[in-house]
Amino acid sequence: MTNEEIQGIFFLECEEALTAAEAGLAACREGRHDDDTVNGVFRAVHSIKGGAGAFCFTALQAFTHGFETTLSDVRDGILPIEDSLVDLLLRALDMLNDHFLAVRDGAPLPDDAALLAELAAVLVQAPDVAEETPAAPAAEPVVAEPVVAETPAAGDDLDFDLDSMLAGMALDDVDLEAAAAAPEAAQETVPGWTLLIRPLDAAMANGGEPILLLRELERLGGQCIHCDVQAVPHVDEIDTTESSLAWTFLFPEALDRKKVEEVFDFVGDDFQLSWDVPVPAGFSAEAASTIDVAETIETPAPAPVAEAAPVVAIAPVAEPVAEVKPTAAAPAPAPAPEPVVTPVPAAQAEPVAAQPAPAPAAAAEAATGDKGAAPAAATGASQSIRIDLFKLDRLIDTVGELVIAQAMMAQRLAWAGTAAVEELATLESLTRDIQESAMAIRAQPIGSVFSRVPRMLRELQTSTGKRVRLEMQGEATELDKTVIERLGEPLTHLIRNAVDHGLETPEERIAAGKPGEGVLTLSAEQRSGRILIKVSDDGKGIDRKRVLAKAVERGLVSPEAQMSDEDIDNLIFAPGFSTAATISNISGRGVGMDVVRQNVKDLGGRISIESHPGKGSCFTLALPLTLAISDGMIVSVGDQTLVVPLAHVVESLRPRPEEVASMGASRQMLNVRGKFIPILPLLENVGAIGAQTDPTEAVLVIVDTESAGQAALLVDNIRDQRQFVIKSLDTHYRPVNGVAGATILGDGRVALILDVDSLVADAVATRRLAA
Amino acid sequence: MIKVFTVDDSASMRALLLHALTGHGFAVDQAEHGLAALEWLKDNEPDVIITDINMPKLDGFGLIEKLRADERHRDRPILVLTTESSDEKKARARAAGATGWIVKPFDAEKLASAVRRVSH
Repeated sequence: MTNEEIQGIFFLECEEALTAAEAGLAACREGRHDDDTVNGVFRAVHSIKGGAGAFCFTALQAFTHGFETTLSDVRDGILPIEDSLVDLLLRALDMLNDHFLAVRDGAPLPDDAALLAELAAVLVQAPDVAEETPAAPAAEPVVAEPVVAETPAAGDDLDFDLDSMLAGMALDDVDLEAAAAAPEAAQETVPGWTLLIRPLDAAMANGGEPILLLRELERLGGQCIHCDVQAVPHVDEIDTTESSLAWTFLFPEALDRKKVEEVFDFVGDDFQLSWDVPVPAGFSAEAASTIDVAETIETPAPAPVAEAAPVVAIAPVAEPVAEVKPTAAAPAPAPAPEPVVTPVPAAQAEPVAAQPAPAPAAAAEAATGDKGAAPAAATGASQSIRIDLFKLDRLIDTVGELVIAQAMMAQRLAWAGTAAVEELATLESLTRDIQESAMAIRAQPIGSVFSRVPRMLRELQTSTGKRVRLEMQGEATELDKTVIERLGEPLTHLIRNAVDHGLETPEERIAAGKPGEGVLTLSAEQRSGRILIKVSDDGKGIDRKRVLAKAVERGLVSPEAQMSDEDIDNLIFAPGFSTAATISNISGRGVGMDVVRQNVKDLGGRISIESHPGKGSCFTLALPLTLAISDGMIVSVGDQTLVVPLAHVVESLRPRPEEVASMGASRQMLNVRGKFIPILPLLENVGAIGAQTDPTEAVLVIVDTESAGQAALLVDNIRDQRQFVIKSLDTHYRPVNGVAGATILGDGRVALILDVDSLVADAVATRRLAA
Repeated sequence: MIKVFTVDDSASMRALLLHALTGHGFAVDQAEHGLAALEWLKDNEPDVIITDINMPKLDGFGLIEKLRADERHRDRPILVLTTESSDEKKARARAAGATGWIVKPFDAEKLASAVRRVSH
């Protein structure tokens, strides 16, 4: 995996984190700020910070750090959650988003100084935390052994985290020198410098293994010149999880202290380190009386206590096992009841430990056998993997082909009279399952689109001075990833439009007897194979007079045209209507509602509008669950088989003669419960031969269109209703007006899929001209 | 080969760890939060565990406490790898039973030597 790929993962992660944080803060804003929510927000920001550091996005890291610091106090309950604070956090989140875009897309780096100052300022305002926290017993189960406090100054320098080391090596050197300068006294006599290492109890308790570190010191050229055994308790009292030894090491002058420091990086305060301790009396550098580390560490432990034996037996060091007789102990008059004063400082009898019980090594060894075969697969339920979308789409495509092949086979078998075989039914149901599963892979909750809305609304409120409350329903509704991705733009436009044109200013609202705060509702639901997304506001509704006047002015309709309210409302979708660009730059930034409709249509969906003056407007987007497979009605027109996308079909009927009204020579209208809609004989469009022309002998499929209202398509009969895979004509032939694409039918024949919208619009326009 | 098990909810962090650790010759397995880690550790015995602190479901502190309470994992070296660097958090990690602490962003070399140092 390349660094870029890992970075790509990080960016995706950032997006998820930003979404999660947004949702969390939105919940806080509404008063739902339980621990989980607050923690989630914290974690989201925290994880961005982590990655930012790893990828050296310093500005992002710096900002997340400031943000996180404040969030941390919120999480810990130090900062009370108030609206003003949440607003600040939301603004910080917006800023974080900008920072993210800066690193991902190279957007300009936002100026975060003022906001960081604000974030810091709330911290200052908080009750003096530094004083209160330690006092509060609830804050932390301070198990941190008192030992920590006893750690000598050198220990502080030797913090066991990496940041100081990564931050500036040079600085570290200075610090070390300064610290080392203190106890310089007895050092002159020996070449090199010394270090007293005293493992604390924790060094054993947490899977630590001091001997490994001591061996590493030897490798670095250190010499163990003294082992302090005075703290070793009586053999009966030896606790193998406690440490009771301390070693003094002598290092060559030339050896960089940092190398030694690094050895203890990761165990930190588990060891008490005293630099430059006096060399114990009687030691001479020449006398090669180096104490064997392994021996000292092993020796005092072996007490003939029963349970101690097995521990020693599995020690990773081979030799000492044999020597573990009390008699073999070299320097250990162990049961010294009273601490003898020695040259070693730090003489206070630590609750001392002995054998570092090296059991884990053996345990790990033993387990090695059954391990390895089981990779990281055994993780929890919510596991996920990231797949290249291209692979997924190929799968979906192939599944589509499979569906068709299965249908073709079923039909062939039906002709052969063997369709009733059980295996075929099984195959069919399996195919359907596979198809559904494949679709489900691409499905994503629409919440990812909705979650971007709150920020947009905040910005809109600022720029318009209007007050908006957002209500969301059905965020969990799932739809195809591509649909979700392409939904963002039209949805954004609709929302901007709703706030800009739909909602009134607080003053206007109050004057109209409404609450000053407008409500924008976003909802999503699945209904009969489609997803309905609604954007509604409780504003003033569409100003039909103005819309009509504008349409006339732009030459979209003639001044005499008789238009229903619905027709007028739909004018806002007409190309060239856009009021937005001229009125303000908020709604759509110069993009008209016709583009919105086009976007939705490109997704195989439709948009409709319902508006009530003074009460508000509601835009409904009806979208297919997936783009790859659609439901269609298969109809015959003469010798042609056509597919009418089910999304457009309202109903189908065979009219009685009195329901058909002729308008002139060539036009017929269908009276559907008192409403007249044009009848369009499809044979004219597809050039079919031998098609039915008499509506009362044919079937009328009533379809709904966006731009031309309803129409009744005249077909010979309806043959089937099934799912089909859309194959674009553009790629295989060329775009044909009125045709959305083609599909392969069960019998292997190609059928054209009607583009109902353009077909009806064209036909209606032609007829108008003809009439 | 030293077997390292990493626990981190961030996919990019997992990828970085995988990259860094396998590059230093360790065998690496991964989980994305404490619960998943516990599940995996039921059947596996890595030499060293590296865990994040802030994770959903079960955080690093909780994971370490649970492992330390388990006979099988009582003495397993556990390194904490996190962006948290406060002393209070360190103390808490140690109290929970962490063997060591590494602050993100990590240096691959240092991480590798840390793993070698604590692996028994």
